[in-house]
Amino acid sequence: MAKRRRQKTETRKLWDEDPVRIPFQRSRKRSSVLVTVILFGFAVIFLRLVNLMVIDHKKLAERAAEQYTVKEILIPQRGIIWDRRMREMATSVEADSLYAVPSKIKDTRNLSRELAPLIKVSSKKLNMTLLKKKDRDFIWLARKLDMNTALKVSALREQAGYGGLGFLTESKRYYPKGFTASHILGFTDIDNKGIAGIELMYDKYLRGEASSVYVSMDARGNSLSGDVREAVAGNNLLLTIDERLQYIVEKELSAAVKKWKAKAGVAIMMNPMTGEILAMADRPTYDPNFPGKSRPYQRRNRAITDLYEPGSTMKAVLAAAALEEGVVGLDEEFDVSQGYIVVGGKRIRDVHKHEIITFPEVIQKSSNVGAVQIGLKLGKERYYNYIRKFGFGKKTGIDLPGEVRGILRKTEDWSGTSLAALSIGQEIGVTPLQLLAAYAAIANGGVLMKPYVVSDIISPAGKPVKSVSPTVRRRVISEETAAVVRDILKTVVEEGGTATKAYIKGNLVAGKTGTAQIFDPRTGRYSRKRYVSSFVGFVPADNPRIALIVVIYEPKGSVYGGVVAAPVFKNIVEHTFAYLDVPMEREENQIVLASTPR
Amino acid sequence: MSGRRIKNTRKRTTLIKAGFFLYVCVCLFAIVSLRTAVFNLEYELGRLNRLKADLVRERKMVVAQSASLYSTQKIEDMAVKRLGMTMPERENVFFVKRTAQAGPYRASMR
Repeated sequence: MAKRRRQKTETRKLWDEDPVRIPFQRSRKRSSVLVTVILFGFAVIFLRLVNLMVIDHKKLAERAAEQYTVKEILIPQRGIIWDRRMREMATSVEADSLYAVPSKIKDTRNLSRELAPLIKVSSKKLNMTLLKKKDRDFIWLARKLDMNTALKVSALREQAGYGGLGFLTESKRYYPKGFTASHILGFTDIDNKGIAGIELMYDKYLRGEASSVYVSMDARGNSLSGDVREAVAGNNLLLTIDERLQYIVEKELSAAVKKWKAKAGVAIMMNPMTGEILAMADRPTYDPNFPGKSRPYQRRNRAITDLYEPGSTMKAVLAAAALEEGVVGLDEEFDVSQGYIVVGGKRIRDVHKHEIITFPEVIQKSSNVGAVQIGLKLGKERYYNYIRKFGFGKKTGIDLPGEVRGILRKTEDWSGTSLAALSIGQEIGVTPLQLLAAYAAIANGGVLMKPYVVSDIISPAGKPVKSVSPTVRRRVISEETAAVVRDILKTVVEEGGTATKAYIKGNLVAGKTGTAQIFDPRTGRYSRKRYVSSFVGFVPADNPRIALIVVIYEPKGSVYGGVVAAPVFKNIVEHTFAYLDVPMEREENQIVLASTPR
Repeated sequence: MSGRRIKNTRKRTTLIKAGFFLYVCVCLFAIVSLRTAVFNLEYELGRLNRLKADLVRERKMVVAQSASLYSTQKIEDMAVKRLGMTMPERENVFFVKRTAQAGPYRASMR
């Protein structure tokens, strides 16, 4: 063994001392050094890799994910609002919003000068904003631009090479019918939150759910496919409103307000059998696409928020109560020949003098003196109860925001003249909708219905979420009494009545005019110049398809409901019946009053 | 072990090594090409997603525009001002019966 080792050592010595091998020997040493260096290098790399891939893996993986994935916010689409025939009344479109990164903008002055006219702001103001917020990373410059403006801004950005400008897509509410039904629909704010009308009332159903998705990006910022996940869109609403009827009502109301130089006007059309609101118009009005350009008085839905004294239109309620309680008969006569009556020291006059008239004629000719006599026979407790039963002094419960309950004092607060005043529709504050609901009860046989404007809530997939059916609030009067009152109201539109201008060829109209003075709080008296003219009724009288109220506030020229409001009623009904294809049925003026239920 | 046998064994080992090397190369190539294909598909999907979003956006605009054009006010304005038509009296309105039942306007229904 030792011998072999010795031999090996000698051989190696010889090998090393070999003059031919000496250069190779040096090279071998260099190679060893090089290999050592390389191995060391690999070791360093290996250790670094261990550090990166094992020790710091979690932290680095998160950082990398942040760099190559971008969180995209998915904008939910607000639900569509349809009319009863599924015509779009409100929908959502996408619009570009312009933002700036002030810290990346170099030439703010030039940018402001060129950009300001496009987004309709002052260039000075824009420049100041950009300079003031120089250290910020994000500011909005203009939200929800229209397509043309967005294209112009985009072109400017690319041509002039302005950095620090960008677009984000946002959802924008759009009302394709413009002014039509604006008071019912309402509008939304810049963040798509309901502010008024249906948009506010049904905001929780209409607004969708925002969600986000992580999208992978490459080094150039191109997006790769992300998770396919869409934002949850809001539910859609189906209204009871008919866009065509709404247009007819608005058109005729506008013409009347213009003709009589009135301060305002309201018209509501309702299905008296179900309580569905078919149209609800207010003047003045506004475009919900640009709510900021209108004033608060233009946006107010007077049909449910403004009170007025109904005047003679209240006499139908009085007649119904008197008949139901059996305190008057159809043949009963009232002496109104004096032309006035004194109650509690207050003299109440008739507009036109009459002699002795029957109970139906009191309503037909709208005699204040006769009405007061009926009211006195009925008594304050009973009359008050019926006023309440007809829904006055309480909200109707319509699904629109801002409804007021009206003013109806309790009997203990009544003065000596209150019963007489209430008999002719004074000392009570009602909304046009309350009065229409009361007349609808007479029209449908004595049942007070709850008015409503939304009939169905439908999910984005088309499945029903909620369905609203007609709601009976209570029975107010018997069917027999309702039939008699309907017959009496028919005579109002016939020869000798106060509303001959509401006469419609082919269908019987039942209704009542109202001409109410406006109470002036400054003088503490009723104004002699300011009136509210109204007409409320239903057609066809015996099988009503629609109930309609027209209220014109402070008309100039004439003030009588039969002159100012009745023709509007007639025009609306004629166009409506042509649209709804309601057949003409009447040939002769034959009104036979049914016998009193007494 | 004879020299011939050793030679054969070496030859086989070399072949196995070459085969393994080739296999690794093919695998690597397959992995790279699959990865590239996946990336291409991802780009394509991203592009299609953007296209879909643009089309949805355009569709919403078209629906809104058509709803606006269908407004009764615009139709009446067009009929009266451009075509010189007048609103007929009620007794002159006749409804033409359609053979197919008219459905509601459903342009925006999904």
